[in-house]
Amino acid sequence: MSVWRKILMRDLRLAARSGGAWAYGLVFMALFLTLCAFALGGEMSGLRRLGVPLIWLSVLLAALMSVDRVFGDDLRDGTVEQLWLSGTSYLTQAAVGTVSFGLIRLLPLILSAPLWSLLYGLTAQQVTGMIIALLLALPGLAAFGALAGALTGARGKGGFLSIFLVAPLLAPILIFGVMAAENFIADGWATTELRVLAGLSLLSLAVSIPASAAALFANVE
Amino acid sequence: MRLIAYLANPARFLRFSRIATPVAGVSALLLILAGLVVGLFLSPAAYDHGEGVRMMYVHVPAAWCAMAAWTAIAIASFVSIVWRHSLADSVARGLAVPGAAFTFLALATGSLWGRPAWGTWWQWDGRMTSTLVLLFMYFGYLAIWNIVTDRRLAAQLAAIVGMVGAINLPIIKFSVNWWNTLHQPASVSEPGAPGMAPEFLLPLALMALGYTALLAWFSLRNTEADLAALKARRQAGRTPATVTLETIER
Repeated sequence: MSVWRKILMRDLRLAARSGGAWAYGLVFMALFLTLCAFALGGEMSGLRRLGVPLIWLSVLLAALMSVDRVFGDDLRDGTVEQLWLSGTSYLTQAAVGTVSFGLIRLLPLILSAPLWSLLYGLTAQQVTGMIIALLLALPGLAAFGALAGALTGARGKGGFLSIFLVAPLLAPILIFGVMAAENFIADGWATTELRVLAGLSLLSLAVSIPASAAALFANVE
Repeated sequence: MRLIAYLANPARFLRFSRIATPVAGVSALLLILAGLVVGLFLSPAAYDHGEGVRMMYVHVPAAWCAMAAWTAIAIASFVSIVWRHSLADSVARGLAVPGAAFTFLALATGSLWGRPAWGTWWQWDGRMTSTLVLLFMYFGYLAIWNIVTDRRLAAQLAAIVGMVGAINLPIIKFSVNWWNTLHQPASVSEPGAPGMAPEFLLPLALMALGYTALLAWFSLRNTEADLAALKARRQAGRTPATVTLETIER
């Protein structure tokens, strides 16, 4: 467990000293949502209807844009290899990488969602449903994001490759996430889609942590 | 299993495929021709679908083959990850392009059939969406082979994607049972399904066998080509360089 804590603390320290690199996703989200509002003509009634799906989409895209940060630097400078030599399995590294990607890159995006919902004039209930759905989807998004990062590896030109690979796998999470956020207004905690979303997150974790470990192994070899 | 172990040697595989490839190709041609004749001219129109039922003979086998190809990729990927066998990589790689082609064919014919049957080219229902996702996953799988230049690394990463992508297959299969949507549920492939009258089943079976043979032909050809490319690269590395010395007269 102490290895977990040490790697996680190191990732957090690196993020804190990165000169705000962790916030690029937030800037992207703000720009994307602003451009969408322009494109839709700035009519509040229309924006209110599309707010939840667009914020979901912006979280997804911001997550996809930052996947090559998960393991990229550690693979380039040999940290992954050194950790493995000192007895930290690839599976542990993949799991910690998933957690730290979720905490550093995704959680700020989700916590900032109430701010953007002001731009789209969402109601308090809509925002609550959306945040709950996003938080339930967080492990799944982090898992597939880390997998994309591990597959992209040290090449650092992940861009299109990671989007091609992981965007199709994120489709179910997006579909059920938006449905859950919208049905939460009527059904509250009884919303079926919330449970499906939680199940999808667990499934994604179970599938992609071993896969990320295998990808790290392949990239180091 | 013993067949797989026997074929794991590339030389033996090539001996096998020298016979199997033409057999698959010829039988694909014959079966598809027979299926087309029976399906288009000899079989009757259906009561509820009219002449549109003939779309089934090109649509359903394509969808089956699209899923069969990814299943085979997933199995070959598993073999490649566990036993590190490079022939499995060649096979998986060879299956990807025909698999993507069959997925596209299934979507295109389904869209053409959907227009007369449902009055729409496209609907975002469970089965169509998950099949479209399958097509994108084929693209991503092919992108790895294209973008990653080191072959060993590309093979390992592709194998991981091949296995992870397999979670989409049950979603496609059961989407019509989980969501009560536009696409009709299985009528042949499950026990207790309504089944089909023999005059419709015969052309469907002919076409399904023909498509499967076509898939086999395509992937065998691709595997042979991949093995040949690997061999050529190895030989180029092994041939001693020739240096010619000439006297230059001044």
